[in-house]
Amino acid sequence: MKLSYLIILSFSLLIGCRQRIQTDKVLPVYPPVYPDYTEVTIPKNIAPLNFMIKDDITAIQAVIKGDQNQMVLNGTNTIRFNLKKWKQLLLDEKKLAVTVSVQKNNEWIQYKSFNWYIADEEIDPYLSYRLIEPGYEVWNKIQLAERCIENFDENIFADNNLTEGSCMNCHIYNNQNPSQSMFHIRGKHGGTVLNNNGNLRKLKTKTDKMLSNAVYGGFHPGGRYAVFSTNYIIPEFHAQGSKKLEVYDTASDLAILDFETNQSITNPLLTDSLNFDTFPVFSADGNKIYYCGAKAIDVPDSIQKLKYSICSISFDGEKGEVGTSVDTLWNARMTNHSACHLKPSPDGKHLLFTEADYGTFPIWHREADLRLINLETGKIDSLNQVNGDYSDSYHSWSSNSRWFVFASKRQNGIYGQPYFCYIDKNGVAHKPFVLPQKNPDLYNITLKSYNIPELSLGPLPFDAMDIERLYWKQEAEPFSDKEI
Amino acid sequence: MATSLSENIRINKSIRFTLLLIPGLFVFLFYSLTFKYHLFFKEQITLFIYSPEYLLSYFNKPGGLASLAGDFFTQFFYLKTAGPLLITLIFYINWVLFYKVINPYFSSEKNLIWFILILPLTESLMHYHIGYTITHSLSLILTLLIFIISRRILSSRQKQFLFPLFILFGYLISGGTIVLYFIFQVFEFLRQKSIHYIANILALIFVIFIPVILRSYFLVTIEEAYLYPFNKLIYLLPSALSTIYIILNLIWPDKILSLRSSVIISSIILIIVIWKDRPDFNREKLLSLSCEGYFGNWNKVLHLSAEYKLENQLASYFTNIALAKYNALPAHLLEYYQPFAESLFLPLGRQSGWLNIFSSNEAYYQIGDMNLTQHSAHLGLIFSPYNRSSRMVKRLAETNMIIGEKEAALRYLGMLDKTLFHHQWAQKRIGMIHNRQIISKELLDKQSFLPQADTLRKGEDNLSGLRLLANSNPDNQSAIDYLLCYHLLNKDLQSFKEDFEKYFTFNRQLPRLYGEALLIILYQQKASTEEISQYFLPSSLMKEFVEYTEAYSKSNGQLSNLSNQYRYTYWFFYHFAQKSKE
Repeated sequence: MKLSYLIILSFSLLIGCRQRIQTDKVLPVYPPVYPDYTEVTIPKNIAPLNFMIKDDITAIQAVIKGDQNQMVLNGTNTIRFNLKKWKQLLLDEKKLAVTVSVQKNNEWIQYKSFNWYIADEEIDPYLSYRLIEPGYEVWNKIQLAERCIENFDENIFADNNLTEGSCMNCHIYNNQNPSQSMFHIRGKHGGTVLNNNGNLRKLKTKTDKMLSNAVYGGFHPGGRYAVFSTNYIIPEFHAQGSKKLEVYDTASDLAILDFETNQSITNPLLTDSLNFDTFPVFSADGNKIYYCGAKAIDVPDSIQKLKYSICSISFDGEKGEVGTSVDTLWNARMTNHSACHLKPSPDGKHLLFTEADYGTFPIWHREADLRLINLETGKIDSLNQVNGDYSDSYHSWSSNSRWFVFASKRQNGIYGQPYFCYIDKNGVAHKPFVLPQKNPDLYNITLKSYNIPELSLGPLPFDAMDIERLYWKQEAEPFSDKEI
Repeated sequence: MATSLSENIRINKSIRFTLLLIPGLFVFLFYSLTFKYHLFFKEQITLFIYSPEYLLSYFNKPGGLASLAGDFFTQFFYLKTAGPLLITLIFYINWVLFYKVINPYFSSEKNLIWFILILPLTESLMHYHIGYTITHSLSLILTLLIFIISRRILSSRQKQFLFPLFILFGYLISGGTIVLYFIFQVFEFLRQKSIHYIANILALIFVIFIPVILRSYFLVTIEEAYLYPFNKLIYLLPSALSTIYIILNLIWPDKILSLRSSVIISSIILIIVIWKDRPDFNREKLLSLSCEGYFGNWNKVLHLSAEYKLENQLASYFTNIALAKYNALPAHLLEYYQPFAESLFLPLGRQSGWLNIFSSNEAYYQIGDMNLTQHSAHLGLIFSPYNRSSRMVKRLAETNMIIGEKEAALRYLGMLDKTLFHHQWAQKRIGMIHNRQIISKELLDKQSFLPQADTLRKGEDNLSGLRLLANSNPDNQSAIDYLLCYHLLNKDLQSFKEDFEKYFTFNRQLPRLYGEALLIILYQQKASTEEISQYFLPSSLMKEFVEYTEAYSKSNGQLSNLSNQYRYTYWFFYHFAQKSKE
């Protein structure tokens, strides 16, 4: 008797779970879903946008409705999708309407429906980032991770626990291609790690003419060269708590590294002590170097007057030669602001950068926002629908130039998370969304910040153990200055 | 007669039971009376959040279950007697388990339970190390349990077959101690004279290679792969001693003699180890200052500090914070050991121990330097042994509340809200964020101290920060006293005089310390009477200064001649305090 009662009860509960609930109240506002996934544009190949309600509720129901499908999901405070059904949903639909109802104080409240717009263009399926505690200038545990953003698989491809706790930074790809990438490991046995189809090299990039080892930079699309800044970097603290840290250069130059000859190419235009030059990248066709340049001033006393412009100089990839004149693409004097983190889109049409009030390190600048220059028209999009209240910086394009990812501190001002943004065919940017997690609560409990997100077309051909071997067992290849 | 016999048996049983309670009582009292702050502090350097994602993260390293359960139990150390009670309970569990493991080797010995007492006792004593946690105890317990269960439920043949699988399973749940299981199992085969060489070799291969193979999954070094969660070899002492019993039993035909020898050898080893690595009672005192300060019992900090009279930088650091809490820093500064300005702000660098780093935010919080408080709290979190700390998360929440970063504060409070013992604390502050009417006075006071202007300074440049705070708020007496005492402890009287003139207001009584220092610099600068009169120095103090200078001249610079009368004066400190060469 008891058993049959239980079976009937279980069956009715099962049926009940799939049915839409009767709402007691309808609110004309969007639900307070966490993360904020309301009215966002998503790629077809993104992992499920699991979400939760942080409020004190006893149950949640989400009805997801498209032209061909309807899905009803229930939970206590979290909505999680079945990966397979989610994939099918995104393949079938162009737009999904999401209606969320929550049970609070024994009453069901239904919120205004919001939409998920599904873009035709896919995003590069892999994302690399650095997981680090947001201490302002000191680290202890650092991991470089690679996440398949089509599901929830995360792979750690470098861990400083295996390399004497050395700092690791800036993992970058050549045109989002995982077969060529690099990052720096500092420390006694460190160097710049260069991955060429899984063949790992460790490079000691500092030469006599360079101020320091290679710091910020980017690959030439041909793969033979990379351009880097070489900087004297000083971190100092603000007195006002919300501003935290200022990182500035007391000197910074540019150098081009030739990975075939292990030579560093410098140019007086880019090593002038009267200028600070940093954040260099090659243009999509490789014929130009974009970089941030500012007149050298007395720092830190005049730090608020330190404003970087966006400059460019030509580069001949055949001869490995830098041009003789510098153009200014975005003049800091005209805007009274400072530019950094330049990233041209792979199709060569746009240049994405971060604009801050001053200086060269915007991650603790609350006002730091992304800007998009149309390289064909010179028009600048202030990306108001993309930028948040806190720092938005460290961006990277998808290989099809229709998506970009950036690190944003908008959730709390301290911990950065990767956000994805869609640029439609008209060049209009849509509301961004944060990297989905299997359990959306992860962002609330992790003590790690997601740093320097970079999209890529596939998984990396090496792992953390390869990096450990490289660190301990391989001598760093020296670089020398190229005679000009 | 029969009644009398049964009565005797009952009495004997009662005596035996009472005797069994004595070692446990010793363990309980040892930790209750001598190491209670160590145990409390262990809770402070962990954080147990009730969230599936967080709990799953424990399995990112070998011995996931031991680590998870260890942190679960460690959170109860927040309660006063829970720590000693838990360690006592673990002591008895270990006693029973070690007995079960060793009993088959010495089954004829009735008093075996007493002969092996040293094993659980050694394990209990490990807890006086700040790095030894319940996780380590549970790792050992789980390994012993796996061995006992496999011995009980499996036949010899099954054991040989399943031996390698048990090693893999054990490694995942209890970590590096699984090596002990392998050793016990090999001994077991030797005892039963049923050695199956292939199974044993296979198991040996498993023990050697499983940690190496799983290294790429757990991302641990070779050393960590074999030891995790044990980060010091000494923590494996109880395991090592237990093998002595079995080895001697196997190689010595006389079982009684081998047992007695085991006890003697184990005792000697334990004594040597304890002698070499003695319980750090001084650290217990330091932790008492730290923990009482954490609870806001600054009066008790002063009381304890006066009682301990420790000549220790960290002790002076907490004492100075307590003095500043009562606006008594200059009044009592020199009554305590002062290793120059490093007792005001702990220097942070590669050589600083994690305890100093962990404590360094407290002074910044006291004077109202919220940016460096936050920075130091992040460092404390990053460099605490497990990179998790309930205390640091609390401090980060408070700091962000003060500087008005509501979302960041809620982020940290949200974490604490998911804990068992910090939930209420978090709830109260979440309420304060949503309703400013109920915000605490302490936070309001700190908010009023926030600097109005901004500047850039290096992390170690404490003077710039202090001056900025003093400029921003003349009522911030802690910052002003810290600034003036910073100069005095560095014997920089010129800077002291300049900042005194700038920031000291005579609406408060001139502290004698400042008066003493002013007299020295005014004397050095040959100040006129008119100039001296601007400082409202009491005539009695000036008279004493004259007497001191006369006494100093007569003493020929000999410290002992002046120490009785002047040892707490700044004059004495100025003349005789010297930085150690180290």
